[in-house]
Amino acid sequence: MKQEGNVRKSLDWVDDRTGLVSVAEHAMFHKVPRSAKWWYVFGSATLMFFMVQLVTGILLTTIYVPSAAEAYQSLIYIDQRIPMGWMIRALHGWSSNAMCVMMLIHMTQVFLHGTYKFPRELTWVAGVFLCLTTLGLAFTGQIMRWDANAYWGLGIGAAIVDRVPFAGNWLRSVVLGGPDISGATLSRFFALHVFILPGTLIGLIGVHLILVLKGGISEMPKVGQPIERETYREDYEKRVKKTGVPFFPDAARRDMVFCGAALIALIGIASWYGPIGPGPLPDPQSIEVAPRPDTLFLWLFAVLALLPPQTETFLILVGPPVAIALLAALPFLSPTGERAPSRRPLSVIILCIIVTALLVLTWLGIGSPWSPVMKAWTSIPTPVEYVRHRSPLELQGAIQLQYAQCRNCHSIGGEGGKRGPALDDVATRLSWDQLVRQIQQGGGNMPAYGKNLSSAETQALVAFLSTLDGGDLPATIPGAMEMQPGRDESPTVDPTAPLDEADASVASR
Amino acid sequence: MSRMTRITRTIAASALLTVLAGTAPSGCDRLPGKPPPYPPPVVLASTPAGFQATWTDRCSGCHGADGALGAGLPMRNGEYLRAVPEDTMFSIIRDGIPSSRMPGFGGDAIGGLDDEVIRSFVQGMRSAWGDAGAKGVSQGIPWKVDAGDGDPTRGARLFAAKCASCHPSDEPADRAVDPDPDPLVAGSVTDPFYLRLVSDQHLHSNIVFGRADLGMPGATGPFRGPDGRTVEGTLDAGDVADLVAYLGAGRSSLPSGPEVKDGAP
Ligand code: HEC
Ligand code: HEC
Ligand code: HEC
Repeated sequence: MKQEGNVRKSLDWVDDRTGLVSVAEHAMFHKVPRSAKWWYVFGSATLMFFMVQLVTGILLTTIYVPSAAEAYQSLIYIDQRIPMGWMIRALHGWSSNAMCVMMLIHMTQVFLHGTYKFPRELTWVAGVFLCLTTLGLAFTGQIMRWDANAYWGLGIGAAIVDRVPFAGNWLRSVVLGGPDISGATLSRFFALHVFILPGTLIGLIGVHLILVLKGGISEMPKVGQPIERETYREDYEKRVKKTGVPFFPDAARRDMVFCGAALIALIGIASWYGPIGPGPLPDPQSIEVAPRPDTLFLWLFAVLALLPPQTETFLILVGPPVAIALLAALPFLSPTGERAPSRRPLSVIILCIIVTALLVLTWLGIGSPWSPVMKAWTSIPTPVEYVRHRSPLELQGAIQLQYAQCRNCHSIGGEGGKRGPALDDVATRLSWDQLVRQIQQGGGNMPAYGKNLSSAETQALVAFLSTLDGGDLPATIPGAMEMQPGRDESPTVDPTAPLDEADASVASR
Repeated sequence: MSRMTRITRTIAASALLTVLAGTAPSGCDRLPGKPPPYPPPVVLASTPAGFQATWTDRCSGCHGADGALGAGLPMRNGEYLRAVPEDTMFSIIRDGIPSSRMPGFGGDAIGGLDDEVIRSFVQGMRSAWGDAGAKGVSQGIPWKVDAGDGDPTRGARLFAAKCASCHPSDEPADRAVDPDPDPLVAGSVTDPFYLRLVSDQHLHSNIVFGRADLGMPGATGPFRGPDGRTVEGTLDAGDVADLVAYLGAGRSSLPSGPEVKDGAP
């Protein structure tokens, strides 16, 4: 044990000069309630993922070039040329998602257990700011990719500040570094993403941790043990002194096991799924640029898509500040009383509503407007069944359907984009005039083609679409028609019959 | 075991684990998450695989999955491919056909192909499909259309005698009414809307080389008379020019009001 004596001695020497060692020792060995079990690991996991972000982030900044011309290329360079560079990008991307998820779970747990109540109000407030900063990092992070999806974030940001009364224009140029998205925009967000937000985050983490130590780790809530300002501190101290265990190694063991497992899972996911993005380059010339945010912000994407336009401005400008204020004010709204979820039905209901809403919105965001299939127009042939027995005008319509890139959003024969409805039996749904109107005026998520198509082109297109009555393709193509309403009324064609016979049976309808 | 030893050991163990976990993947660079090479490796478009891939990627949408049975003119036709001069084919693919729906794939187009790639693609197309299709369909008529030296009146007569029963000018045979339609009766080629969408070259190529995939005869025929009976006999270059002149004249046969103003050829 001679060695140990030496370690102790040097530690004492440092402590004598700085006092840091005793602080660290206090942090490590302070007593925590015995009931602090697996529920309490999520905060540490969030911190662990932040460490991963720091390390991988610093590595990435050594190569990433924050200029509009080179950002995208530098990501490709990292992916392709730097040994394991792709792995660093994958870790950074997935760990960012994991950090946000852990953070949200941690917040949910704190909310559910009423831990934010007296005397830990400020811990919660610091946590709310941590949450905002973390989301800010995730948001600015996807802009770093500078691909088409990065424009989503910027577009949203610009649209939001644009709506601010009076100062809108000025704010827009502050955010974007000019009237439009440009190289200056990227530099600005780069500064946010690598200096300002991480700096803030580190500071806030420090505050948050000091407050945690100061207030002590809370016990599991117990029914019939409400918090009262006068007695809580004393009771807590007494209980912890009597039954508590030192944080290290008793409680920390669980944290370490969980963090280790999470880290291994992270590495597994990163090596399996690889880096996130970069997606396609932004392409101002194609009409169907449909940027999508990362999964984390899909709910916001859905909200913005679903909001009725008249209410948008109001809700965008008023909604977030109010929500944030409410969140931060929570401990002051209900500082004392029962902590057990079973005694706080209102809180549980609110939590359920929020979680359900977020999940449903995310699901809508994932599912509803599928991204267009960019190359469909040159690479997915018109199904042969739709080429046979068509008049020359209808054939030109089929070409027009390719050329106008309709199939990037619409499938026929089961192939093509899924943004709009499949067109295989569109003639059973829409009349000639309705087809003309749909094409010229668009609607829903469909662009209006009015001025871009000549009358002959429209005529050909509608002539071709009018032949798509769902009859030519036997229902062997997965998903092409089974899901279409009204499909059952059309005659079933024996898919195994030779083509000519099948055609004849359709024709004899 | 004292507290210090325990701490030191735990820390050492976790450090070791982390290092292991962190370095293990770098051992193998074949993990599934590794992004595919970018830009994708160049496959010479003159090789069968490279040609096929480029065709599928860029042409199959309009000219058919395997060079036939698409909405546009089939390219799987050796005689046709030999008839189109190599430089013309190159410039059609690079620059497209102006004011038509044939896009350009080279030059400044988004994701455009290099001239070199296009040249080798043309090579690849010839070696893949140079032998496909029947021979002698075109009667040796050159591919290129001669603008403006056909006789529309004679063309009209030829059309009535040889084409009209396959291409009736009224509505295409309604499949719902006719229980057993003749698959060769194709529908109108005199419809002004149709004609505005296609160039003279397109008409010329179709008449000379036919569309074997859909049953359209080439210059060798056989054709169909007004009575529906087969008409033997071939077309020569002059006949085709007259037919194109006749069809081309049909483009303006509609009163042009504000709604029919357009940029179609
Ligand atoms: C045996 C019937 C038949 C005869 C005779 C015939 N065609 Fe065709 N034609 C077809 C078929 C089938 C197609 C394929 C297009 C379709 O199915 O709509 C076609 C296609 C065409 C096309 C191209 C349409 C497009 O895709 O843009 C033109 C032009 C054409 N024919 C002109 C003529 C002319 C001119 C003649 C007379 C010399 C003629 N055809 C004789 C059956 C015929
Ligand atoms: C950006 C994607 C997009 C493109 C490109 C697009 N559409 Fe659409 N289309 C849609 C969406 C989304 C809808 C559903 C609109 C709605 O909800 O009312 C739709 C609806 C339609 C409908 C009505 C279908 C029905 O069953 O009600 C028709 C017909 C149609 N599109 C034809 C076309 C044609 C023709 C083109 C090309 C000229 C085209 N679309 C290009 C997205 C697109
Ligand atoms: C968006 C649809 C589209 C795509 C994709 C397309 N084409 Fe075309 N192509 C057309 C149309 C339409 C025409 C007829 C234009 C006209 O009216 O002359 C045409 C005409 C041609 C012609 C001249 C035919 C003739 O003799 O009149 C050639 C050769 C050709 N295409 C080759 C190609 C090749 C090779 C590719 C792939 C690199 C390709 N096309 C891709 C639509 C397309």
